Amino acid sequence: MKQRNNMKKGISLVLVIALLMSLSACGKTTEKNPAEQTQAETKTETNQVQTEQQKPTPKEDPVVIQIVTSAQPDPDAKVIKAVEEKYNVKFNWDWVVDGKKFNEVMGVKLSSGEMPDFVMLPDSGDINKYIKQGLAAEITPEMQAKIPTYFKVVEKYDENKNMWVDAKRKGKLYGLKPISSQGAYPTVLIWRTDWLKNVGINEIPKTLEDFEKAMYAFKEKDPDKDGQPNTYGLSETGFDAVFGAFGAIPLKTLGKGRQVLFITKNEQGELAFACTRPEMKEALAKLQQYYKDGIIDPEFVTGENKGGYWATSHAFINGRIGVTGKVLPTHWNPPYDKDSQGGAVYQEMLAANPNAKFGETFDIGTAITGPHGKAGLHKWGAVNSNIGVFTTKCVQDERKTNAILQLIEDTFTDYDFYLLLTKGIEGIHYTKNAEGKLVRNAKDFPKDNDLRKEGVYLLELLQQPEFRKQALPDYYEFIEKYNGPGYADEMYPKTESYSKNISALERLTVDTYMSIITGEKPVEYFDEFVDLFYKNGGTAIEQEMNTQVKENLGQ
Amino acid sequence: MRIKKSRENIIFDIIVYGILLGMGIMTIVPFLQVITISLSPQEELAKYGMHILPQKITWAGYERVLSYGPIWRAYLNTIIRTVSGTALSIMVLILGAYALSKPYFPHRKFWTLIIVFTMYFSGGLIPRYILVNNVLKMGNTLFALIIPGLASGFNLIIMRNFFSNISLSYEEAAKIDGANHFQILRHVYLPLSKPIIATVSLWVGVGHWNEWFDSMLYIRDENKQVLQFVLRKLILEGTSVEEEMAAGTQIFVNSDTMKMAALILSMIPVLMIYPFLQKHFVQGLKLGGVKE
Amino acid sequence: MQKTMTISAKKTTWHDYKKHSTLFIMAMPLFLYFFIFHYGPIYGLLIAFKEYYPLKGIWASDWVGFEHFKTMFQGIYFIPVLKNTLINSLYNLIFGFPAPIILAILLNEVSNRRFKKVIQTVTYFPHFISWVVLAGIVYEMLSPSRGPINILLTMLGFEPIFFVADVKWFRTVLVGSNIWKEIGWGSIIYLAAITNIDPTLYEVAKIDGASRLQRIFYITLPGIANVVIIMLIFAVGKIINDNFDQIFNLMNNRVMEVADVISTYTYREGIKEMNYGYATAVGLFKNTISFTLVMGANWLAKKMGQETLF
Repeated sequence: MKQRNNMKKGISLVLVIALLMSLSACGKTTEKNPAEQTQAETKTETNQVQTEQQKPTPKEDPVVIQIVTSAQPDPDAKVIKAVEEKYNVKFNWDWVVDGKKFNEVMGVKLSSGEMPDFVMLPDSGDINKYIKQGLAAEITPEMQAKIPTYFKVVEKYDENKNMWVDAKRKGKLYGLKPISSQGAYPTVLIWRTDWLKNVGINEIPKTLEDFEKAMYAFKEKDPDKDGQPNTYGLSETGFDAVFGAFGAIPLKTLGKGRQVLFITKNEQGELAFACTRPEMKEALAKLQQYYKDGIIDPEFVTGENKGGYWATSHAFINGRIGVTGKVLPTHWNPPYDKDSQGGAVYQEMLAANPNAKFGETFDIGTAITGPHGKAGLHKWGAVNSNIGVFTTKCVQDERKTNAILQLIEDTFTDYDFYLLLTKGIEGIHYTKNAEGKLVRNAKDFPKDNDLRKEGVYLLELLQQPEFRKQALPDYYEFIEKYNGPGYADEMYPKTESYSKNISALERLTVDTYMSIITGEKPVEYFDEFVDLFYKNGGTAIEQEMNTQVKENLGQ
Repeated sequence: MRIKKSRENIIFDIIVYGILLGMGIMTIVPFLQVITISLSPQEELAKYGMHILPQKITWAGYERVLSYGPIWRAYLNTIIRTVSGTALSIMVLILGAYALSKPYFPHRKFWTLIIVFTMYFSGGLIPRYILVNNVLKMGNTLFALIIPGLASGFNLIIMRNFFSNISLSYEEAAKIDGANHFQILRHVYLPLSKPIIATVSLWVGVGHWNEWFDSMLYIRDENKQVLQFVLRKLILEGTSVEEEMAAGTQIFVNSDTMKMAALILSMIPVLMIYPFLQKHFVQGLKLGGVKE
Repeated sequence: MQKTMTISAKKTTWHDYKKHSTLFIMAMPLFLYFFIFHYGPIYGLLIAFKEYYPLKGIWASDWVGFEHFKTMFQGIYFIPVLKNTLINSLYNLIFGFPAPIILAILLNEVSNRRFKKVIQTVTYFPHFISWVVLAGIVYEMLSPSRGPINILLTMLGFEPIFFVADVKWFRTVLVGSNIWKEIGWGSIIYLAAITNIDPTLYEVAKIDGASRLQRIFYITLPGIANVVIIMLIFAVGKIINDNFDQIFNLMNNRVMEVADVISTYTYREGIKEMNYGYATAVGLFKNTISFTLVMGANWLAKKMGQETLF
């Protein structure tokens, strides 16, 4: 008896487990194939149709739109509701994809047959893949006609006149590019002006010669007056100044972080890698000399930043080096008025040095000019590699497509609507101070994510640079002051050979540059490097890239 | 004789205690650093140097994390997931390990091999997602978090080996008394296996506690997300220049203070569990009455 | 450890399944789970042989055979990267594998229960801290200008060493920091194994006049031998693996030649570029090697008369 009882217990345990597994099959509500949602959801959405405005005529049910975002808002947030009512749509927020895992998560979801309606892809180089597999739909001339202001505004920022090369295929447009208005300004150099004074230099250096003088003085003349040989001229972010003084910025960083080799236009006007240009050899020779003379922080390879906010140079704010770069002026601005706090890194500088003063202790400088008259620091670029695409699923439904297009167009034409999308509701998320400037309600919403929960930022599908300037006049006034020379990267399509060879080339370039700078290899090795570079995919990539560009633009 | 032994003992003890003390100090350093940063204001953090002991204390980091709405719900979700997931996994593992520990289990080698094979060959993320989400419709449910990772070949083998080291003579004796396998498992094997069950439960439990990627993949509702996923968003803010370039939003200063506070808050429950499990690491009970 | 042998027929038959049906039923949930969730999706390995596009799906994507493998093997950095992976793992095996065992043995020798508990708890803290945070700590501790280690060195009259940026030291940093992080957590299984040792054995040995050291070698070690062997077999299988999180966070541009491993190299190529086929191919390559190594180690253990996987 007991034996059978226990037997039953055992079997029932197994059955329970099986039951648990099968229970999962039923009772799960939110998982619906989005393709069916447009029909199935209309029944449940009727109560979401505007109740505040009296509509005498019976309306269509709102169409459901899925946008990919980085954060999920409260679906009933006022901002969201306002937009939904305006266009008679309902947003579905199932597609939340984290920035760092974007491709993985997207790939997995797409593979299971799900598709959003509109998505901002992080890398336009992948546009080919998206078109090939039927994700990105063509943005037809009819569609383009619905957003004329968008095109008018963004094309003003197309500095290199190439913003569409990675968005077009055979002359057809497949994606819209967002404009980063601050990216249109170059990064700057931050100098320790108190150090400059202490070593007898009265002006922020403007040429490579003066730059060198300052660097050597920072190392040798004890600028912090503590009697210790613990100061250096520059670290890895300062390399840009030297590279730029010779004609180009070759790669993203020689410190820690993701490697990217930059593309520029060569003498023939074709796309080419910057890192193999002969001017880089001269720049490397300089850097090698600096390193040998001990002016470069010997620990540059582990980076100036030791964690936390990426733009903070701990080496700089702790008085180890005298100049730092790769930041925008607006990371370092002093407070614009009594309501604002100052740039993010400015705040950190003052945290580490409570007696520091902008102008006296540190100040902002622009690019230095080299012996051949070249100058420039890196510009992030007004046009970057993000690209917004309408999916093939979306364009099948005209209502959806039109709603999204209208949303974009209104963002570009209606300033108040723009404010709603990017700042929130006046009185709740921000207020206007006595001078009419917008002051963010930092008490209730200290972090950007707090605002995203309220629906702010998420529906700003494409940035409107003109309105942004209008909304943040202080910010742009300040940044305009330091609008010196800069190099913006070219947009380029990523071809087969690029995918295949780029990571080996990245490694080759970094290894070469590092070994030359640290003196392990002589400067002449650069020629060998160029040879190796082109033999191992460099030529293939450049050729394919240029051919692809012509093909894309339909030439 | 006696005096020599105790001197040798003392020297031995000194060496052992010394080494262990050294290890203890070394391994507590990162923990102290994390705690100190979580309590330090920005002025302290901007400076170089190790942060082993707090110079100034601020609770702002902890306040910020704990006042972040989704956290409490996320805590609950993680607790539910960990408890249910671990319980389910352990049950299945114990049953399977017991069965496979018997040398007379039919085709034992074969069954073990096909399980071990899965430790090395896997179809990958995509087919699994299709299986869990589309075929089994577990998407957005607790099941998606506790079933796909139910058992690992590694845990099974470890447990099975502990079981097979329990002398079969116990089983024979029990069988003479008329016990079936379930009873033998419950009355003979389980009491003798407390340490290993505690260990595997710890592994499985901690695994669940720290997991966030499956939550990102399968869970759609924000209020069903697990703790590590919610904290991850908090912790990653401001670390990527690419995001800032793309976002075009105003960035406020990021607080390492808050991030370390988040880390501590997510670790505390797990750290508190171990002492409770330690009591199971005692010598196994001897049942007696069995001739080896 | 005697095992009573049941006399079983050479061939297992349906009859045996019936005879041990309870056992089989007990194992059923486990088997079901593995079949559904591991063998169900296994067709995903085919992605390694295809030009996979998520929207097309596995079946509709084009077949490219061994193209991805060719790309991998022909990469100019493939051999260096493979070499680094193997060497790092070998170091980890030689130094990292015994460390938790030693810790467990030492802890077992401690009679003060409170001290033992405290040390046990403290040593497993670093396991919970991610490499993003730990790498930062390692950098600060080993900084030539302000790290405590180098300050100590300079006080003793030596030159400071830039450990993390020195190809001669980087591997040591890797292995050392890994031990630092995992020694406590890794010792748990051995502590569990030690509790299974019959305490009377120790008493008898003491009476026989065995020293502490002798007791460790003749009782403790053999007592946990079977666990050690199993863990060792698994560890051998992991030689082709690498610790992406650790290396990605600790590496820098001066030590690429010893730091760049398979996973960091393919990270730049694979998923990042949405090259699923390639990423899967690399995974398949690694897994095949792992599996072979495990089978090999298992066979070796069997030959040596030790406990094995099967």
